[in-house]
Amino acid sequence: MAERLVITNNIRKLRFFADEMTQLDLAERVNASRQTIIALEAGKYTPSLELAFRIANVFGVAVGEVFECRADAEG
Amino acid sequence: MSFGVKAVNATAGAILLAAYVVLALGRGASGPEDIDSLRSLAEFMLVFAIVGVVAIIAVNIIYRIAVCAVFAAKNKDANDGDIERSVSAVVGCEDEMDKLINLKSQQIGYACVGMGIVATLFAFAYGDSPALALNILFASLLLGVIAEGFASCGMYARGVRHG
Repeated sequence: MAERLVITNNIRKLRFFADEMTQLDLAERVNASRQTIIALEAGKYTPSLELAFRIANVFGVAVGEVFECRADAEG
Repeated sequence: MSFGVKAVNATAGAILLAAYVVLALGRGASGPEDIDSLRSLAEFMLVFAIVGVVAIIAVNIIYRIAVCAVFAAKNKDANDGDIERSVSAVVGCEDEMDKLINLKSQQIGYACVGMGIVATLFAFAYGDSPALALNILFASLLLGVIAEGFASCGMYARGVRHG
């Protein structure tokens, strides 16, 4: 049976360490809406590869440090 | 469109559908079948569609003004730039998540309209009045818009996945 990939992220933590950057600031810098950043942080949305790279570039880290992936049994 | 705009549009659509159902029942939804009454029904639908579009535009303008007013009242020290920035974050740009949600909710809307068209064909096939068939078609278009709006709201609330 195929396993479901659960993608989590550290955006909230990275924002905190980036001088407590606001969600609105991050949204403007990656050309997304604040609603999308809220959904990302809540784990309700997984971004496209392009947005993931943009977010990582804002924090100056690798994509793998922003997003983490683990396999979860489906069902 | 943001969650708020979608919610406002879906609610306005639901109110319009309710108004249409009341008005259509008042006229006699499955009225006589002569071409003159069908013409008058088509005119009624056209007027209703135009009024509906104007009403939705007006409701959207009022919603945006209300968002600005609420933000300005909450942040009395904010300047015009701050207000514009915050308001555009609420009702402004459409990004990739909005596009994905629009795409998925439009599928639901099209499914409603498709079922309405099939129901219209059934109405014709089983000899129901053309007026009833036209009403089913028009109601299914409105239902499609409402279903799309509420599906969007649901996806904004629950989240959305690719694939």
